[in-house]
Amino acid sequence: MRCCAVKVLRWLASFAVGVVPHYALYRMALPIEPFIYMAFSPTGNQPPPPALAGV
Amino acid sequence: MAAPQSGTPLERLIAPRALLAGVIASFVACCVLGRTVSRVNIYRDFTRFHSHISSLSLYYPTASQARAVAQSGLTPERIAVVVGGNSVMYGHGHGAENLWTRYLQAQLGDRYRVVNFAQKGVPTADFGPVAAEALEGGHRKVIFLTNIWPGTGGVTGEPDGFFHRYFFWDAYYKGLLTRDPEREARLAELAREKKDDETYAESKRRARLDAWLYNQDLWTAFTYRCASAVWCPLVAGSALRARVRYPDCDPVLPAGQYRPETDLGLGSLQTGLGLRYALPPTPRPDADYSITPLVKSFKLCFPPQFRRRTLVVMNHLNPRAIKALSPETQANHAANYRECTWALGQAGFSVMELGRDFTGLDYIDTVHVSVVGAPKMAAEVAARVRELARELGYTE
Repeated sequence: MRCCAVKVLRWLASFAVGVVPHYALYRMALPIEPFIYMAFSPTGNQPPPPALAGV
Repeated sequence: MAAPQSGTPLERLIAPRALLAGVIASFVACCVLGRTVSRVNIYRDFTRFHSHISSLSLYYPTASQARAVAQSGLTPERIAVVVGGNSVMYGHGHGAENLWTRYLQAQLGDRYRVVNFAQKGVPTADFGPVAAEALEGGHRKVIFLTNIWPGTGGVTGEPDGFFHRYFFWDAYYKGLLTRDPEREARLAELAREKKDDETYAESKRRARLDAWLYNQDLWTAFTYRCASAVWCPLVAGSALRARVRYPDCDPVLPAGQYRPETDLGLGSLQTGLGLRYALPPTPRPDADYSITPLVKSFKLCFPPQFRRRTLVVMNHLNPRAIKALSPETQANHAANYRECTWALGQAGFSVMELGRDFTGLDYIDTVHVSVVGAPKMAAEVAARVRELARELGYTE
């Protein structure tokens, strides 16, 4: 019984560990800030003014 | 008889071979799951990629997901109308209920399926055309709408987009795009031009890898449906909340409030509004209009087989803003519309002018159409879309 529990735990742990690199590959590709804010704003962290939103 | 297991419970738990096998199995399972969800429309009651499910909030829908959205509810007989372009086409200031593409769908009826893939602030060839081309791989009847106005400077951007370059390369490496020799040549040229730009090369490598591993498909779906682990100012109050729980809350902006005398941006727009960017360097009746930046960039971004089914909407600006310009600028501005329409038509595109008779009430600012103008916008576009569908033989 205990051996079975260890096996289940082992699979669960290894599955959890396997998900991490898959998620990390996605997460690493995200920019730090939304690029459009940086593109339109001199301060880099404000949304673009409405007048420029249509450019 | 099995050998007795040695070591602490933790050591037994992390038996290297079993752990490694499990890690590999779960990684592969994630890839398979990502591939599976990429073919399913994960979006509930999709109207557009609003601020909480777009790059504005660090949410990057993939080309496969956009294709799945467009494919949902699409039968071979129905005509897909894919709306691209910038915030004018997005419906900035309409709110979710009065969105112009809702009116467009109502006007066109069930024979058409309208999907709004327009994004705020993007050049003409960014995002939307890629989605339309990806859809066209499995559906014959596609019409793509995009827009230009003098503020865009008459260029469409590069073939691989500008703000949503990831989207192009995602579709490209997943094999959702056709291989057009002219576009391929420009892409190769771009790769040479940007050979020192590590970000560019890395984004391409990432997209190539993603075509195998489907990271982005799986985790954007997870972010949308289950929980988000991405923080940005737009989700500051509830960073973990699944994006499906954010409604499209773009506000309805008041119609007819625009006053040129208080518009600080109009001065800087003056130069752009007076340009005639469809004209060749030496305009003559027999001049080659295809060498202008406008036509050249359109041709590069839209391979020949997609030009006729691409309806370029040239949206007119608020007449109140136009009246505030000098007579010379006004004359150039008017001529520019005629010339662009003609030049793009010559290049094989379908073109229409939008809002020639709109009033100040139909706008919220210089360029964006108001909720009052939205039904009119839909009516004008619907008429041209029906005409184009007939021309393309989609209605037979």
